[in-house]
Amino acid sequence: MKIIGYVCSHAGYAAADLAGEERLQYSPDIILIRLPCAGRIDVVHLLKAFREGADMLFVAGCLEGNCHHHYGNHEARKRIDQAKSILEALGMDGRRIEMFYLASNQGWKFKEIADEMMRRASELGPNPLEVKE
Amino acid sequence: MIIGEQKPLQEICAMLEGHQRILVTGCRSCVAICLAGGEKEVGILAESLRLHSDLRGRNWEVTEFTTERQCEKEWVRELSDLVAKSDAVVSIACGVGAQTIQALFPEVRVLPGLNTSNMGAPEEPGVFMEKCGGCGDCVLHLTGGICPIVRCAKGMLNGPCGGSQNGKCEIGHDTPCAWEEIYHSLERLGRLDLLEELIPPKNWLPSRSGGPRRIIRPEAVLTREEKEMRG
Amino acid sequence: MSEKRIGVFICESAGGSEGSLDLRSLGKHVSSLPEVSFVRFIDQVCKETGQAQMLQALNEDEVDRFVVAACSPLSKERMLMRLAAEAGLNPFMFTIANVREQSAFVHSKAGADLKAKRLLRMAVEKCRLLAPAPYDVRTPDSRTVLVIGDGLRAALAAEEVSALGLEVMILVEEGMLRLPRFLDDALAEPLKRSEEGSPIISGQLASLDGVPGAFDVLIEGKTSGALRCGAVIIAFDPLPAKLEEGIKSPMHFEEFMASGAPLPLSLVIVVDDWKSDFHSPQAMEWAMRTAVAIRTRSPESSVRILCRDISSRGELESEQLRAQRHGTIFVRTERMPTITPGVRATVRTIDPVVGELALDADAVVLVGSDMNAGSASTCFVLGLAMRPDGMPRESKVRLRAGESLRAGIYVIDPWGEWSSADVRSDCAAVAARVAALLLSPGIEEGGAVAQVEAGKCSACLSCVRICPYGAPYVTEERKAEVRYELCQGCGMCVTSCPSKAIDMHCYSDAQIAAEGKAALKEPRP
Repeated sequence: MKIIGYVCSHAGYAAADLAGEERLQYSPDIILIRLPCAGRIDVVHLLKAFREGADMLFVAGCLEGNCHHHYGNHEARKRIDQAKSILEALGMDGRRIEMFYLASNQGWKFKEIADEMMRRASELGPNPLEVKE
Repeated sequence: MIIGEQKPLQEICAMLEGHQRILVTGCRSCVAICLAGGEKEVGILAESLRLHSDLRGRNWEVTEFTTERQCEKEWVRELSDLVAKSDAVVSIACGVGAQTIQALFPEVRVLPGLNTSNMGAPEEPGVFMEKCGGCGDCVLHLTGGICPIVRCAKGMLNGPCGGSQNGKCEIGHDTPCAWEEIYHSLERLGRLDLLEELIPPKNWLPSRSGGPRRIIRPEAVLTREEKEMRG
Repeated sequence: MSEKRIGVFICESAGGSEGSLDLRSLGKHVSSLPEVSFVRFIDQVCKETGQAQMLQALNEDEVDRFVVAACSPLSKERMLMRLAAEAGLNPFMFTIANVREQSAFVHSKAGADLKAKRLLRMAVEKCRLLAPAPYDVRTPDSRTVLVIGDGLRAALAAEEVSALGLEVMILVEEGMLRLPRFLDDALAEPLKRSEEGSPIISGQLASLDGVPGAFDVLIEGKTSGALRCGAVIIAFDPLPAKLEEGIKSPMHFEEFMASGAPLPLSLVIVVDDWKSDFHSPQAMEWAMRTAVAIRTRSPESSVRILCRDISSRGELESEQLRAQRHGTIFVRTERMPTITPGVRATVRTIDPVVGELALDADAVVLVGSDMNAGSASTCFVLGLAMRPDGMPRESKVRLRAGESLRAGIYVIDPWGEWSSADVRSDCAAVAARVAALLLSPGIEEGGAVAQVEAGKCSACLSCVRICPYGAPYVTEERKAEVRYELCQGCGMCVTSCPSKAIDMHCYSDAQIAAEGKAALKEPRP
């Protein structure tokens, strides 16, 4: 499976680091791209990733009401919703992409998110696209 | 500005059936501002079309370009190279833009990716409201700066219909009654007397009922000699 | 265009003390990528010896950018910025592949090795697309602090700021500070001194331009003119509650007490804390201190304090005990009493135990606030988002207490402190933050900041509207521009621009796309 997580520096990335320090194990199918804020994510990045063979995508930002940049996580939520409806319009399952909220001290939650995306990936199967290398 | 909204993705994909080399083009002017057809939206639509093509094995080649303004030939000419390599152009500029492209490139199929809707303005980020009816005979001086043609659902010219409730039009709770707004505006201006000036039955000739309207600025039209000198 | 030369460093400790990564294979995976100049193994990147090795390699090979495969950027970034600068590079011309916390520590060996390769490849592709970021360390032009307010908070803020060695000016609309009289000498004397010390400017804020350390301020009103300052502190006290005729305000009552007129035989102090959970405990402090003052000077006078809750946390607890020992009666009531003014006023209320009460009083004082700090016009001029009480929204309270959303402008909350001593702590805290800004050898600006390509800008104002920090603005040429001094690098403007006229350093669209592509490329094991 190929799963990319777009994580904000303040919450998602830090929580992933903490999960590392706590040696919480999760699948290496999951790889992270660091963003300054969840609000940096754009629909076009997400669609490109699917075209390049991603099976699942997620965005992890700060807890609601607690975004380090005040409302970046709200912006991210709107982009994810927009991407979901494009996927649905194209006949792909919108659940392949998801928004999560967590705090930098929640290493356990990062693992939970990783495991949830793996579980969903096995339920939905690989990306219907066959991507040539 | 002109407000429009993208057609549903499925509708655009259906229009493109049978085509292979597709150019998606938008505009930096009105449609960028109403978040329907600017470079960002062009990118998203192009990527969506590529994903659609890959999912269904269509082998589409999708290119992108955003014109400065799609209603002017000089700017639209910048599309030449890309149009030459395309068999279909999806324009998410307004209807004027799509038509300009077709006129300039008669052999390529031009498809509208946008439903052009109205002349309006942003109320708050992401919310665009119709404001002007383009009737060609403006009465804003008599209505405190509020257009009764489009902001009143019935286009009443001399006062409310009596169907409004709590300042809202009977068609829906979010639509303010234009005549109530007109009243308050004239009140703030201290010109309620203008309400007594009757607006006669509208002359619809200057509006859209008589064929495509043509407006001429004689001072800018090139004389025959000027045209000859310019070649 | 100059050639790109990417240097790759792999930290020998990247596999953790378990040593669970095949670092040699990792190095080999990227060594043949285009523009990679070298792959070097460094004993420990965070040790001085390791950094010396890196510096030598950077200088010898004349690379213009580098990648480090090690642990988290969250801990290594600052250090590597310094290293880059030492090597004569722009401090942002490097990327980090976190192969330790995000691979070696969390996956089994085989998985960790493969993922480390993908991570390093992503870092190389991102590095390839780096461009020198705007960055400078700017010495503050002015070490003067402008305090805006007219009461206790403004005075204490000014004093705390001067104590740290900065110049202060206080902007007061009426030109005079209103200080509560109940303050004991320990607090009052220094305040009087600071009143005499800090120049008080009479007037209102008309406009503010510039950047932290170099603000240009225009004043209008009683005085008008221009001044330069390095930071602004908004220090309003809550406005006093609105009064009806016959009911005194605390200030009014203090004047009465100082006038020498005979003190009232029965005084009722109504502490208005019914409006919301947001109430000013200083109202209670005033009530208690005044009660003690009255009972001391005139033991035959009765003093009753009406309130919803006796807010006497912290320092105020001893005030409450003192007031009670002096015979003050506290009457708890569920709702705001009705006051019928007159020569002998009647205060009607409901006590939760006794029931309906009607109290006669010679004097009634209403202490409280109308939930407004009178700062609305200041917020408007400074372009700050406002709370319902008229105060500017504070930045993330946990991380940036006392800061507004605009860099260089600080806020002292009018609510929440439990006594005037606590107000001083708040002011001291904000003063310390201001001093940290203005007394630092330089204010760091730039890095991962947004930049506008004016030619593509449609002047739609999307960026101006979305930025929480007021960094984008529209120039005289009617194109947007981002003041990198104010940009906090969140990237929301980049995403919201409908004409793709804005991009940002270190997290550009091209970089995110390149990382995505590299992430999905299966490495050969």
